[in-house]
Amino acid sequence: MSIISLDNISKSFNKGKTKAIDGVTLDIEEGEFFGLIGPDGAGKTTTYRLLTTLLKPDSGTATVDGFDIVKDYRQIRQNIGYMPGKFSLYPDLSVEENLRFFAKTFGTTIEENYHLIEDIYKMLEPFKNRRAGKLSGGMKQKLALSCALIHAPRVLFLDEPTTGVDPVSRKELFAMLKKLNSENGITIVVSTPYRDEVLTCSRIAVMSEGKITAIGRPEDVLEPELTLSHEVAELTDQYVIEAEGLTKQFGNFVATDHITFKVRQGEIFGFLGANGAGKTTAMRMLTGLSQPTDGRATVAGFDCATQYEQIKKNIGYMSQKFALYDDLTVEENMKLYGGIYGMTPQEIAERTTELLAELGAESIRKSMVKSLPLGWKQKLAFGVSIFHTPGIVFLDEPTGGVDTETRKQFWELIYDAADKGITIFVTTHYMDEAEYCDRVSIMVDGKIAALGTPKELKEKFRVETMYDVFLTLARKATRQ
Amino acid sequence: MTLNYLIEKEFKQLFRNILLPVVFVLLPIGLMNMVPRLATQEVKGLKFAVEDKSHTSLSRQLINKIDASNYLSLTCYAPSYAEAMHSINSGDADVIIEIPKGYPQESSLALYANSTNGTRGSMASMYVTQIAADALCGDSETAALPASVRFMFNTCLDYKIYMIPAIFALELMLIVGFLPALNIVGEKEKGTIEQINVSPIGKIEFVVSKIVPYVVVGLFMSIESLVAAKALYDITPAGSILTMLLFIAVFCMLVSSLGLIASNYSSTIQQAALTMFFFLVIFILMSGLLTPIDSMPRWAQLITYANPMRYFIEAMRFIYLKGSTLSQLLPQLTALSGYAILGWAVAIASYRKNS
Repeated sequence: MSIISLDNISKSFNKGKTKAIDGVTLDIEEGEFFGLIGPDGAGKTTTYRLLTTLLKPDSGTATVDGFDIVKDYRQIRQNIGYMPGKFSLYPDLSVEENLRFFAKTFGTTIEENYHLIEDIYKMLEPFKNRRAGKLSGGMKQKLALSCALIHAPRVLFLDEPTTGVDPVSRKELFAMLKKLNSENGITIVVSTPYRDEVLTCSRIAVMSEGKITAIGRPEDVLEPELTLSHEVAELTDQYVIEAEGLTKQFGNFVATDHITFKVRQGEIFGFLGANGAGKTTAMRMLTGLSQPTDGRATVAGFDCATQYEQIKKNIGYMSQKFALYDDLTVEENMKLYGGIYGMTPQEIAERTTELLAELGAESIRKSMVKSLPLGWKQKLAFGVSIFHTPGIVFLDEPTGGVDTETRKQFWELIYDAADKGITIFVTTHYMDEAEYCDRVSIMVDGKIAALGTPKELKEKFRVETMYDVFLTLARKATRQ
Repeated sequence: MTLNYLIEKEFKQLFRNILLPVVFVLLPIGLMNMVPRLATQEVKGLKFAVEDKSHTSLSRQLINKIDASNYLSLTCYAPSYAEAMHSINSGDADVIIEIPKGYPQESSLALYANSTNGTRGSMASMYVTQIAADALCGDSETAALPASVRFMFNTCLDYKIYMIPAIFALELMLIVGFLPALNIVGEKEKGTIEQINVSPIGKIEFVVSKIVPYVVVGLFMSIESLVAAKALYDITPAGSILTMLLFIAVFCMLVSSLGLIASNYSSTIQQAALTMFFFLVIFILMSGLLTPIDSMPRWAQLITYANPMRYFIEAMRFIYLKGSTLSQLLPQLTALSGYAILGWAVAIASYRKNS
């Protein structure tokens, strides 16, 4: 018998108005490494929440390890581990306290199942007294995985465990999952937006709008990889960003350590680095949110230590965390930001129409932002950041957690903007995106470890992909 | 003007909130209905025992008069002090009135009040003294009595009229002080402030846009309270409503600046709310809202001078009860405005778009 079996399961929200899952039938065998793939809003999280007995289905039946998800939820909860998309840790408890707490909840001890988490926890042990809230994204996920494993579950559900995690931590995390699957026989159901991770699954189900559209081996089911082409514009020798020895120190900790680089006008500049390498800090200085403690930088000709308010007039910015007002409509958000940048009502009206057309978003003009799926939100946030047609736009992990198709659309928007002469300064954890940039810099431990076109860097490190360039450099990092 | 866009946004968000508009309407009505009725210091239904040793027509007249009052009723006519005391012990009386021989020419009344509940005891003795003084007035033989008492401005010693002006302070503090604080921290928690900070928007514009909607709401609620006080208790201000609104506007500026300071130094809604609660409790205790400032210990009285709410409540009571004019209230207005300017200076200085 299958360890997980769903029979015609449906679940809707908002009194039946939103169908999250619509008649899903699926069997997963014991010992499988199963991928649940699909864009945002496809129904993946609802499936997880049903199988982990956090939701009851409207119709249909499902069993996990032979137990019914409605009647036998107690038995199921003893036998499964669940790592939700958002961090489920207590930020004010230390690493060890978090783990002990989860162990106690399941009536076990850390020692009893230590063999399961040993590999992961060894990496966390030096920081066991640090509060979970102070860990980097990658470390948090390792701790969350330890917590989900501590009661030796038979099935492990992981909802996008590698989203927002840098490529090195991501690789480590998947290697651990593979090991748990092959050596300890734990059945794993995982979802991920990363293609390389999907390819390591034994079988995958592709979901779309609440239905399963395909099941099979990833290489059979997965659509061919997306490719984008972009003609590099004639680059002038005019520099719009110039940083010289730019440094930010918090107490004894040097977050950004004397970085020097230049960005040309009209260029797409990829600003890469592992979690905690100092990218966001550097970006905050360049966008006039934070004062450098040493060195200097100019953006659009203005000094970021003294003329930061002038910088703000000339740039656009899209923060890592979604920052539009979700209780305003699409149009209202655009109007607000147009007004903030001093555009006239007529300019605002024209630009709104123009931008909505470019984004293909005319139909959602009057929709409340909170009702939109993540992919749309990210595209809108980008749209708003270039609403006032700035010379430079800063994008901080703009595609975090977004599905492949939307990522591609997003990059098409970036190319459109670059073609209009807007300089793009972008950070990302997706190494395929790094290939799309004109030039990239890679930060390691607060310093720029490499800088050049993707082609130059691959040649220099004698590897095939940017992913390998990144791994080579990031492995040298000593900072956690 | 950028400010228009920002204020428009704030109003939209405010009225898209399901709860807040309801609160704005119901809070003044609720407070006006409850506070004057509950927070009252009037004492009614006091019981007294009498030990009459003089047995004159005057003493009987006095006893009848006390018994006939709204506040006291005779429960025990005791032949001896011991028996009168027994009625206090058994809870049948709150106060003993001993009318000695030769009253009123040769001796005076003796009152024994049960002060386990201090207010009850002191109010009982106060009422008896007053009634006795009244009874003796007009009697030519007893012209020796030194003074007669008349209560002014609040002739019936009605506690409601004392509480109503203070309710304005309470609701303004809750809405105009709390909500801007929670609003800005809310933007910090959601992350939307990041997008604002990276725009060229001026600090003052941003801060003003957060305040304007709540000041409008504050004025609306004040007017609502005025109407409610008239409808529920038929109490209207003796002074000018315009003067009152001026004080309300200045007080709004002041409490909103406190809210902004709290939000600038907090990174979560929890922190901001707790900071504001701290201010709220201290301000209320030290303002004379519930207990008269004059009955506080000397050191506490001194501290109340540093409490802006004190001046506001004082001004509101003077306008409502005495009909004081703006020129008579200049000291209060100066103090309030001073604090408001100081508060705003700190609020704007502590909001940082660059750190």
